[in-house]
Amino acid sequence: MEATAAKTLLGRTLFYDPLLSADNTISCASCHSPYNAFAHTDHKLSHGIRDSIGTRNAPALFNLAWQPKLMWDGASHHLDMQALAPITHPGEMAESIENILKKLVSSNTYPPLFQDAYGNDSITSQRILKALTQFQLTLVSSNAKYDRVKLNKDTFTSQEISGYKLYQANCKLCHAEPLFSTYSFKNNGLAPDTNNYDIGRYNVTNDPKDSFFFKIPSLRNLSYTYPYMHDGRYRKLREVLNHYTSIITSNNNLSLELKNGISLTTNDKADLIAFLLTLNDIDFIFNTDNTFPRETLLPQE
Amino acid sequence: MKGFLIGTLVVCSSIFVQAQTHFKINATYANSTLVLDSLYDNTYAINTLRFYLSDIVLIDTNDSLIYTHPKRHVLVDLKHPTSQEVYVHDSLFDSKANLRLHFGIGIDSTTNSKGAMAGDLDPINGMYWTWQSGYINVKIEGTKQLEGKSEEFQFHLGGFTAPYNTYRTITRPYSSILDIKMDQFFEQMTWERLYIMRPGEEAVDLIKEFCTSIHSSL
Ligand code: HEC
Ligand code: HEC
Repeated sequence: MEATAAKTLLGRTLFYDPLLSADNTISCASCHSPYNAFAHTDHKLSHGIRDSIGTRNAPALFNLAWQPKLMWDGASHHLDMQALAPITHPGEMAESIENILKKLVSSNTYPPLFQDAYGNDSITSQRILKALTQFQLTLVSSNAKYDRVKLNKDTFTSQEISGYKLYQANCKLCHAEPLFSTYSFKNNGLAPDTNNYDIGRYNVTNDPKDSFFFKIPSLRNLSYTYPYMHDGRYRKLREVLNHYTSIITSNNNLSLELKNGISLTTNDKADLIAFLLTLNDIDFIFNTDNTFPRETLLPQE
Repeated sequence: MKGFLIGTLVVCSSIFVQAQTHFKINATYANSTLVLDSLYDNTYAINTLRFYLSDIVLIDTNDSLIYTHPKRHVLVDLKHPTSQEVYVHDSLFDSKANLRLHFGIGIDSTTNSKGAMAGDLDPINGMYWTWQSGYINVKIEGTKQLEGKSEEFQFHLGGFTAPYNTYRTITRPYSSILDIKMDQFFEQMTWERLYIMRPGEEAVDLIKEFCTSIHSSL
């Protein structure tokens, strides 16, 4: 196998392996499922080791190479290092890199995978983190109906065209094409969540101007990534649109792009949703290159 | 024959002496070497002191670069005394009197943005924040006696983005010993908070104070 492919396979194996958690029960995929565009749909807030409940909704993972900062508040600025957060978090995987190294060295599966990926079987934190990154960078979603229309391989229905125009008029400044996010931090008018009172980006920058600012999520694959928002407060796209049409524009933190308010009729909402559904990328969701690696994790079957 | 042997020995040993020397970065309290876990002034005990030195160079009086340390980042940990000794090649300069040492305390923002690294920069060294990415430039942990009670303190000082970039460079006259005067550092502190674990104004201030507490012992 070629080295890049071997590194991707190693990263994919690590991603799906609960060995990365203290009691070998939680893998990255426990919270980031391929069938949810690598988000998690059962819970509003992520669930980790021994059923502990996190404070935020697990985001979808795709097109990560284009994101300058990771996490809802941008606390992580490099994909390699991001993985340290869930691995060591006491409520997520509660494991240490030292111990993972021990487990990997003494496993039968990993030394040959490291050998293939790196030319020798030495197992280091750097190699683990780089392999996870390598796999996650292969998670590219760019084959939705929208993309095919842009390549003149498909056409929008008239309802989708109407929805596209509504999107361009109301959403585009923040959820910009073609990634459907600028990946900057904004406040979209949500009332602070009452459970965690999450202040978002302010927590990272210490700048009060960033109070309740969160990273703009992409609008791709929304059918698979519910519930929505950093705290998973909405389960349906209709609820999201109802939020946007009822924003309190006098709210101090609200980002400028929304200061004029958004008004959408019931028909507009249906049209806008029809357009949003053209951003679902089924090829990505069912791409078997991204799913559980039976060949390495269940080789006996 | 005898003369020849002695001659060779002298030549060899002088080459050896010339080729490498080291300076030691030492922590002190009231002018004596700091011992981890010992109580000072009936008040302070330090159990962890760990920090990065970066881009160590020697410059002469004309500001010309004389020497660049081959390792860009060196982790110094008082638990491992050998890490306090930083080797520099000595062969290029005749007299150390006018040389200056120039180095950074911590990890610069470019290196911070590079992703996973090995060796002294391996996150396994406990000098990387996990919940928010970035290196901890200086880690100081210990206890302080407060009204008869022993309170823990933990200062994890770091942050590499404006306005809270804590990476600082300092220049000191070259000397084989640099002292970090921890008594001076503690004296400068306000002690308003015993835990500083994130980038921010406090971390910037404390790193500044840490740097001013470093002196060449001439
Ligand atoms: C217990 C659930 C859980 C586990 C296990 C978990 N994550 Fe996450 N992940 C989350 C949550 C929640 C967030 C958002 C955190 C935040 O914004 O503070 C997140 C964020 C991320 C992000 C940033 C995405 C973005 O859009 O900013 C990446 C990348 C990621 N996780 C990868 C991983 C990897 C790799 C693993 C395994 C090593 C992993 N996760 C394990 C819940 C989890
Ligand atoms: C000011 C910039 C801005 C504008 C304009 C905007 N959004 Fe958002 N949007 C955000 C931010 C920020 C979030 C994340 C908020 C949070 O979780 O706290 C978000 C979240 C969402 C989500 C949830 C996605 C997920 O995966 O959780 C959807 C869906 C959404 N927006 C749709 C829209 C639509 C449709 C429009 C236009 C009608 C729109 N947005 C206009 C900034 C904006």
